[in-house]
Amino acid sequence: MSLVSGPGRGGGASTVHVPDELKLVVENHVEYIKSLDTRQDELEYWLTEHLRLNGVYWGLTALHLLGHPQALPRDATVDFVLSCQHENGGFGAAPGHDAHMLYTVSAVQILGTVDALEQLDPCDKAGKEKVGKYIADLQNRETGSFAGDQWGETDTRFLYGALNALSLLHMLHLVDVPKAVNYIQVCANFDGGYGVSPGAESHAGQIFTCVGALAIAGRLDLVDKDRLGGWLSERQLPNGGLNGRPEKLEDVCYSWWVVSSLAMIDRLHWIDGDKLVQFILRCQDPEKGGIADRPGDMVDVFHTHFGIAGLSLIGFPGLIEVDPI
Amino acid sequence: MASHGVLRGSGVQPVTDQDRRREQQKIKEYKGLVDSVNDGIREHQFTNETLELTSKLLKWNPEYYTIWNHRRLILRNQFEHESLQGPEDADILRGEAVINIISDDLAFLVPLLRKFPKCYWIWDYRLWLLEESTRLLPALQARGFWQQELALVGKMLSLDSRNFLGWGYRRTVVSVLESTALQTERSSTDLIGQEFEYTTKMINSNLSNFSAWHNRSKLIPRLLDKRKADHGARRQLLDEELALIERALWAGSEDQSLWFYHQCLMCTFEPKYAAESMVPDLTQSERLIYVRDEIVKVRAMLDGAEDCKWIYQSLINLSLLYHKLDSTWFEEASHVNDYIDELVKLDPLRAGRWNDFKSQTMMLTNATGQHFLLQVTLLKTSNPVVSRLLSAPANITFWELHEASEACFGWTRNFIGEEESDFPKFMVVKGNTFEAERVESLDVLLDLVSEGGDSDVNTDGFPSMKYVRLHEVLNNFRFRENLINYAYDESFFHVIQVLGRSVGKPSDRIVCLGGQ
Repeated sequence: MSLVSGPGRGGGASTVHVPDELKLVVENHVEYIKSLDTRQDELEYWLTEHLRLNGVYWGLTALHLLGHPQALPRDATVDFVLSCQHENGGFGAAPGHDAHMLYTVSAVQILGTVDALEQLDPCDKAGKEKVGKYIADLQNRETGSFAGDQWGETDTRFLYGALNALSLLHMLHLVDVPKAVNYIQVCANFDGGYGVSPGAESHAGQIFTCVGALAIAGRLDLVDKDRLGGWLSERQLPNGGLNGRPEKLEDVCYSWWVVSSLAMIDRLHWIDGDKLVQFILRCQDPEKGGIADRPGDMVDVFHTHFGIAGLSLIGFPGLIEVDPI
Repeated sequence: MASHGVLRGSGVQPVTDQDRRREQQKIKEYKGLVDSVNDGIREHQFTNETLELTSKLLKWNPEYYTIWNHRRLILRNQFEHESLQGPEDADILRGEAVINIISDDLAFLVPLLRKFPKCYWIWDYRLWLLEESTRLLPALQARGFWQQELALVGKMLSLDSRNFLGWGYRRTVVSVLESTALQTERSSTDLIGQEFEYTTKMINSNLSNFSAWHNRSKLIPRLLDKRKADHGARRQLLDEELALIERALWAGSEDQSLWFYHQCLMCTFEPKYAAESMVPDLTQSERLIYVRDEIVKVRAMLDGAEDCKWIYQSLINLSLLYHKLDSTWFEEASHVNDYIDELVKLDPLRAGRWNDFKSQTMMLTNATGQHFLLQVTLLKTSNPVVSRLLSAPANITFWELHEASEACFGWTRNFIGEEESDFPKFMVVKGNTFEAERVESLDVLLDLVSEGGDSDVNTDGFPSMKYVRLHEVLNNFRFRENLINYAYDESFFHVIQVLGRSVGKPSDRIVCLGGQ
């Protein structure tokens, strides 16, 4: 899956004219995602190789939500995922790239989506256990936090990823979940939000990872829902779009981070869903397909995925319903 | 992702054959470079030549995380090589070699950080390099490296005062400098104080800096602890911060960063958060006075800014906080409802939230003057049944009810001053089936146990055992038909049953009407 941006642009070629009635151009998005892997003659295809496996996950999930789960060849997808795996059970972004939590999570999510987790096992009986162990070994047993890889960078993104992948593998017992929960609580701020590490500023992306991890751990009771819901609802700007922190620009990807967090704490009705839908639809290229971060910018698969997932969460008609966690 | 915020020039760019050839040439060059780096590492050629190749590649594509790992391997190898070199008394020379390697690499990263300030991998790699200095060098030298970072990150933040990674990096550097591993005789500077001043400087240059306000909120408790501040010193800083935010709000009442900081300061008066706040030991009445003063100050800001939604929002929150502390309204309850109506008009995007506010205040308003007729039964002595009939105002807390019923049973125990773990733990039991389940966690006050035994009631909005009021539970439709069971002292269970409700004159008295 290529991470090359464009060729389309949010709002289409003429950004001035916005049609009165915006609709989701499902077929164009499907064609856009399918075309991505044919763009190897562009330098950007090679410069974004370190995101290849994430890209497959984004493209695949978007296609599933659009109701076209068969649009990517299943066998080739599974083969590609398995070709990214290392001896230690972890996955890299592409063959030859080092193993890292972020890509291991994407690999498990992709295999789960196409119902191929069993394929981790064929030649090596304990294939799934190996993946689970790779993830579990990255937990710091004292603090409960998770590192991204052997070099030790710590971030609540990795903690969420670990719990997410392990729950898909039914292997949460391999890690100390209560310690992980404690660590998240240490990352909580007075505004109700969470940061990347203890003391760090609240950020909608990190809030998603922390609230998601608490949801998986069954500890949403620890969240100050009214306070967090208040902070998250203030992410919506007059144009309907959402930002990730106070005083920042709106961006389609927060349609996922903010909206799914609100959904998990039962406060989805605290923002204006219709206005958000209008904003996301203005970010799509109605002719060439794909969604951009905001109108006028280049489309890419990351924003296409998060835009469609956001629409699904708000209950946009015609899309498959997505689980906020 | 290359396209976060990428705005291409207007119009479609013409693609000529020459462009295509140039693009293919670049791809060939890039892939060739990738191959030679990867080959070098595969063959364990941890040489300066391979290092140079990684530099060239990382300048081109700093997001290629594997190459940063390659670079770590090369440096590790060089460090080990240095430690094996030379005669045994060459420690100093070896230290110098390590210092040189680290200095060179830190210098290599600076232009990259300037060009790609939002690239996680560069910041991570830089931290790794500094951690290597701590691992390999004496504290004095390692401290020197870490110390320089404050200047660097200060420059980065002056270019982009909201850089998320930059602020995070700054906090990490400060915590390392504070750590015991790097303490030397010369390191007695008041770093936390300096950081606090730094946030003042950032705020003064731009009020709308949420990152700076946030950092300030995190530094204050540490600053006070470090200075071993007593109650008076803590209150003085609180008063200074309240004055600072008030001035700031007059200058920018539309600025949400300021209101979030104001909300953060208000946590000092909020029972749930007070313990972690800058003045944890204010009395209830002191908190009430502070909240009252804030209501007056914020209300004054409405003059000339009647269309500022943040003022109404703050007034509602403050009024609810006041009511939580005292169960009376400082602002007339009807005013609070008017504020909510203003908010719905001014801020329709969040109408769902304001309507939820409305139902909350309606519930609280209706409770004023209400009394419950309660039967409290002592469960452990089931035969004969020991129970008391009480009339209790709706707005007293469960704790007050507990104390009152203890007095009515005739065995008043003085709980005041005891540990919070001695507090009774309440739970609600559905229907008439009693299930003697203890609520283990102090975080959970109320637990509705359904007939199947599942805990299925949302206990949102009951922030602390101590301050939950009767009406918040007994008027909630989900609890209305239930018995409430609470336990204390491991073995004593009481059951509370609502026999009736009455609306009378406001009164704060609990009356024991009888018993058996």
